[in-house]
Amino acid sequence: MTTLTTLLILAVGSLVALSLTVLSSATLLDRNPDASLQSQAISCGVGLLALVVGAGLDYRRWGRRRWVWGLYGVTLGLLVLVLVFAPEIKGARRWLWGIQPAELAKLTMVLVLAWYGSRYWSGMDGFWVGVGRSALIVAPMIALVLLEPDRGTAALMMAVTLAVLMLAGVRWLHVGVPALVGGAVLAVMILVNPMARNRIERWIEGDGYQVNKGLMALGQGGVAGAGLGRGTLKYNVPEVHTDFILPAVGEELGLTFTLGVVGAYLVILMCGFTIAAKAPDRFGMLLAAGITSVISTQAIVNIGVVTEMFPNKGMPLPFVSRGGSNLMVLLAMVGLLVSVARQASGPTVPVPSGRAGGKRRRSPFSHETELPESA
Amino acid sequence: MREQDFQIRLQGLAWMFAVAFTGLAVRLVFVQAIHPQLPTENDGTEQTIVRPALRGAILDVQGNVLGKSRVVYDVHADPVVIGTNAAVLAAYAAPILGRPAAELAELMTPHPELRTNQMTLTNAGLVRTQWVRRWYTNRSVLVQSNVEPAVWVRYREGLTNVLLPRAEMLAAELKAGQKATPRSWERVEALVRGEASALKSEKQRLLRIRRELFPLRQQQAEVRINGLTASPVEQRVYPQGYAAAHVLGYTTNDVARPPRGVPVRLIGATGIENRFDAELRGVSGLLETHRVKGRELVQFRGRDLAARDGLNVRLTIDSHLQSIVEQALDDAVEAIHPKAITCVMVRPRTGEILAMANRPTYDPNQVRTAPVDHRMNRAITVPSEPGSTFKLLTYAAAIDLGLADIDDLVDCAHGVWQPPSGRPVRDIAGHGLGVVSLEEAFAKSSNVGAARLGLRMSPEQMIGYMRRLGFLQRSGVMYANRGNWGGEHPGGIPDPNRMNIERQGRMSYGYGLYATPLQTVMAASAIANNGVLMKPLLVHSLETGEGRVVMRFDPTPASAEPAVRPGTAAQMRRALRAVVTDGTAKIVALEDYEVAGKTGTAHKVDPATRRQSNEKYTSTFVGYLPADQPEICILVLADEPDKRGGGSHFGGRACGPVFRTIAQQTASYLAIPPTTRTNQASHLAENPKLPVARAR
Repeated sequence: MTTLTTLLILAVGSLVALSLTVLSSATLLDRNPDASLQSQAISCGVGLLALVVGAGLDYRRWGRRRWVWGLYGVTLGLLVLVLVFAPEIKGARRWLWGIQPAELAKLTMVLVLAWYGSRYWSGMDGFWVGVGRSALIVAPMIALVLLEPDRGTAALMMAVTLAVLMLAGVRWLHVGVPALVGGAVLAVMILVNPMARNRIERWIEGDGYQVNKGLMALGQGGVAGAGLGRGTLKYNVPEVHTDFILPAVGEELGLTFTLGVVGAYLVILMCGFTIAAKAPDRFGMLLAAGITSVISTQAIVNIGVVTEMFPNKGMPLPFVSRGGSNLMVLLAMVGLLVSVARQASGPTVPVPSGRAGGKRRRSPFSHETELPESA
Repeated sequence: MREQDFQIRLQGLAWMFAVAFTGLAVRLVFVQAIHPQLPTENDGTEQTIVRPALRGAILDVQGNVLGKSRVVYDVHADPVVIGTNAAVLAAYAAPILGRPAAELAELMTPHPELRTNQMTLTNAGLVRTQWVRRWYTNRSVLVQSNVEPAVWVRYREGLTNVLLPRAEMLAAELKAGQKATPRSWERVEALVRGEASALKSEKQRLLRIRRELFPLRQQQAEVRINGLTASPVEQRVYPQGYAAAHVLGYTTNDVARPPRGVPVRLIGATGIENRFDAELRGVSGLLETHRVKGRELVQFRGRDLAARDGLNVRLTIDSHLQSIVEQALDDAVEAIHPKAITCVMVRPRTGEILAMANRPTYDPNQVRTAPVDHRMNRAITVPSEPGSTFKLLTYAAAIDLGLADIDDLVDCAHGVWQPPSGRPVRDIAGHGLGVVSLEEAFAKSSNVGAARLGLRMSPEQMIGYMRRLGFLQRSGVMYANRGNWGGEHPGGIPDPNRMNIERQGRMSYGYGLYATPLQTVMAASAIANNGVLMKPLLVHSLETGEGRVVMRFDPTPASAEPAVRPGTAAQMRRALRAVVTDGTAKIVALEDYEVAGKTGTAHKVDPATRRQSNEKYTSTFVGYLPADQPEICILVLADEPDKRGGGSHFGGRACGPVFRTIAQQTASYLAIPPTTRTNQASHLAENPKLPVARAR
């Protein structure tokens, strides 16, 4: 387990380090490059703190009902507040006091689903318990995120919900039907929304300005890259510091580093799912798998968009794109992952209290059965 | 569900993600290494900026500026960018650029026109021409030239707040609308009250405004940046106006219409500007760099060469003396109405030209308005028959050859003498000299005396002395190289191989040959300088902008041995002095200085009759002072002075007063010690510590 966490931390750390390096070059022409880099560094610091704290504490502490529902309530409240108070930027209300509640919603959702899946694991193969109630739990959050509107995050949340529910033991049929329905809804939404439709059409025709400029930057970098700070095409790529950071990496550092980025995500994926498999309880398993799914899905969508595999959809590259909320939440998630890993290898720090905390070594998926119905 | 199933699902999901990542990795390899999509040419960021060198200045010997360069702007409008904003922009720019708003608006309005152009198309080796009709609009209209840099800055700084009233209106409306939009609970309340449609329509309205405002803002930025553009232009200014205009010359643009973004270079067209063009021009620098969105990417700086400004040319001309001469010529034009008049002032010891001026003249700041013949430096480009001043050479040659002595007697035959062949030689009416000394014959300017003396030598001897004294050849005063003599005329003898007694006799008193004013003044200077002919010098040195001397032009004799022996020169100086004391030029005598010189009055050939005219003359006076130790030698040559209105065509009477004025003022400016005995004492009493004449 130590090897796993070490690998995980190394992968995440390299991505964060790469992020700050490339951002300093990509924001060079901004009106105030230092300020944007500083705020990113501060977010990074706060996130690392969250990571350390999250790793140090037993994750099962969060698996209690009042924590879960408390976080759930806070998240919903923030999501409502953001709709009411947030100023409209580029046609969406997403930022409240410099943070994006939708990012928090991802974490909350994974936590809630993991708790729910472990709490009612025996009934998960029933439709009502397995799909109906869990859908009711996540639906308000997804709906509020959709209202912002932030369709990308909403879609990500739906996908992760399906993944976690599936892992929690829901029947294929019960997952498959909602997935189909969700897909259909998504298709209708795209057809109705002119912007989304336009993006799809552009993707099919291959003439998206942003994507083409990104591809040129990637191509210009080649295998070796132009060298740090020596890329010029990246300045022509809109949103190069957020969603389209990979072209900047590709142009300046080359294929070696873009493949390295993909490799780092593979390492995170491998570590995350191994941790999930070896988790001491079902809550830990679902939590680890959900977190890893969030990270992986974001990365896949982002890289896919940049390389013209998917239609253009704004999705930050985890740990690398600029965006304080995203980075903080992601680092906190990694902290939870490490915590799960540490509990799996036997607690090194005595857990002060809590039903879930146990000093006994248990088989990974057994102890939940011992819990009383009313938690 | 069994425990295994969980593990299977977990692994399945992990593999799904892993496969997706692998797929993306493959795609990345394809995109970056196997089939990279590269930009077509350069990425549009590369830039090479020329750093133009500033042309050097032309200074007088004291360092005063006669001509220099400065940077002004040509302002161009792009009517396509400005479009419908012409009126607003014109109203704003009019007071700043100093041009009526209506005129500006007209220039800024696009005038598309349909043109039919012939195009040559090549298709599979088949060339065919065809007429193509296309719409054209001028994208670059000169709105104002020679705009001061400060004015341009004022235009740019004031521009931020003035453009596009429509945009301003919309922005204000949008702001008001956003302020009025109900927020938080008000909105909820409004929804509860059933005012959803009103809210929605207000939102739609604001959206519409935003949609109109955004492109307007973009347009505004475009107009601000590219509506009017200024290109730096090097402007040549001559702060002293027409002073020494012919010496300085002027510049023209190297190409009539340079491509956009290429700075216009000035090249010297005439005069010193032309002859020292390479030195004045300097070497422009360049900067190779990359630029994105108006910002330089410093890490890509390639070659960065600073411009090396041109060298300054320091002339031997003294602008104070030049202005004395210019003023005197202006007065002379008033007094004797010549067709043209020229004055050259030389320092005989060194050959330095201290002043050189011609009338008619021009203002080099406004060359275009001046007729071409006003731009000629007559002092070196227009030769004429010198007339009596040429007797200087005849006498000097005869004495130098040992054929005569200045005290020898000569029979001037009372004004009419029949040479062995040809027509008789006549003196100008009133002279009527008998047997007199050569000195007196010279002083009274007897043609007969000069002819008899001239015919004592062979034509070859006479031509030889002409060459030794600088006639019949160019002096290279304009620093000739590669056949470019700067317009200097060599003078000459028409048909020198068919010489006969009549022609030689006429040459003795200055007819049948041509000499430029410079040649005449240099020959007189040679006599003043003990028979040593100096090369005329117009440039003192070349210096850098900081004043470091790069090259110095030292006075040099025209040839290794003197043109005439010092003894000859001394005799000639006696004769020249006599011209002023009791000859034809008593009028030029100065109170404080002993002046020596020679008058000349030449009948011009009437182009209509091809015979000598009795109406048109070339009048000359060339003289120097002080007679014993000549410091300056001045020539004044008037072409066709008008004898009506109290004037005179005689060299002494027409040009003498001009010479006198110039000599008087020059002597006092140069602080030449007075030489006449009566005034020497008083001068020294006033200026006890005065140095001997300003020498180099």
